Amino acid sequence: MGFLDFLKPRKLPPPTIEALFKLPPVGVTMEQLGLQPTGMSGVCFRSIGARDFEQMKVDMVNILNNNSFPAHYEVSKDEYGFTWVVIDSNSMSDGVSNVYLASQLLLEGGFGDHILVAVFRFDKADQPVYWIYNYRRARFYPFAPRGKERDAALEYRLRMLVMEALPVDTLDYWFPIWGIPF
Amino acid sequence: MNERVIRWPRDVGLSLRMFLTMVILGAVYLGFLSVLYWLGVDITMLIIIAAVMMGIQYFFSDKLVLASSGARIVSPEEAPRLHAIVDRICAETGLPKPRVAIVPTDVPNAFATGRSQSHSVIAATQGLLNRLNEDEIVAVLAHELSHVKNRDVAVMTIASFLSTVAYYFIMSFMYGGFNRNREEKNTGGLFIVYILSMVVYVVSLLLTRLLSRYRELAADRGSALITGRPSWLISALLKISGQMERIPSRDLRSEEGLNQFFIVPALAGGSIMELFATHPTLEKRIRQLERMEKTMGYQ
Repeated sequence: MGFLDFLKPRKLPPPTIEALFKLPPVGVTMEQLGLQPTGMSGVCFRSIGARDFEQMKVDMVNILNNNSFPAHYEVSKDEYGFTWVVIDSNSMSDGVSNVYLASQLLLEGGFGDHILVAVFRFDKADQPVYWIYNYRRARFYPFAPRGKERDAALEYRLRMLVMEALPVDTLDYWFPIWGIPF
Repeated sequence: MNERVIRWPRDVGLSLRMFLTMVILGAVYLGFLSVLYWLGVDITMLIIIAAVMMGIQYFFSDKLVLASSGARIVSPEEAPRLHAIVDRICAETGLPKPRVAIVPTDVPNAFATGRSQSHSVIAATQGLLNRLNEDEIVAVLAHELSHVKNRDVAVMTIASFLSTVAYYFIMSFMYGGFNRNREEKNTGGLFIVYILSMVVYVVSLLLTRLLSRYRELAADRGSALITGRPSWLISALLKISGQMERIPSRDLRSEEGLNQFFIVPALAGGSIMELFATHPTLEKRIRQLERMEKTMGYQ
């Protein structure tokens, strides 16, 4: 126990998903910096019990197959024990809608404590630039992995370009997520 | 003399703001002197003292700065990479090659000084050379050489003359040296002069700092035009400003219990100090470079 523990709030802010829809309108601005949307997106959450997980998968299939935003999707686990629902949509805005539905399913299923981030992939000169949505802060931040490094200058410039239209988190929260499975 | 004269496209707005600042500064200067004259204050002595002090500062600017910063002039053999970069920029801009110095500190920074283009020194800290990549170093040195090209030492020395005079005035009041010139003047008149000097000092300081910030923006422009890559300087500025270091390096998933969301972020925002700052804010500088990047086109 550190002596500064009393500064910590008792509760985490609840995850929210409405701000996800602020991403599609800035797509045009991003293209000015050479970013191409890929339609690839994903939801990352802390793994849940096996039975819940199977049920969730069934529900996810139903939701993602029976809406008006056709997509392919895959479920995988990563080395940190987090589950990824990777969604391949026809466009970035379809991807946002699908991520919204998948997130809603998780929140309604009572897995709100497990949900971590949503990730949207763009490409710049064939290299990925991700916009990561932090559910609890209801803000986005950019992540441009380049090998084992990240291109923080590019990320900062992206931030300056979109920060008036998109809620971008402060630099202190730009946690990397290495090995995003798409 | 240099045959090659490079023509830089002008930023009309920036030039206009710079010009206006200098006009206002000149007006304050003249206003101050005429009020002193009208009050019958003998200011010849003070102006001579200030002029001598400024003259020393101006003519020995390179030596003074080198001595106070601990910078050491390095030969091409000692610092081949740094010299090669300076050589290249000088060849491109037609500037005479300045002396090159290294400051043995870990803080990433660079500066240029010297009263004229042929008496200039360009210095980089060891921290700058260690932390920045080749492109970023080129951008920073191009910024510094733009200061040399724009004759910023001369411009800023002249611009700060007024605040120096006002400063000596205030000082001479405080130490009573002024009494010798008082003659038949009453203390009320002296008090007015004292207050006036204070006001003039603050106003002219504000104006010179404003001018300094414009010169910085002009040097940023110069760097972007020399390298053709504004993004190099953006990247360098981010590293020098320490902004990059705020970005966390631990993977989000390895943070236990999501506690990372409750780190209290550093408070940010504009403040009164911005008025007195010698450099524009990082955001302002990057915005200008970002605009240039747009017009120059992306690679």
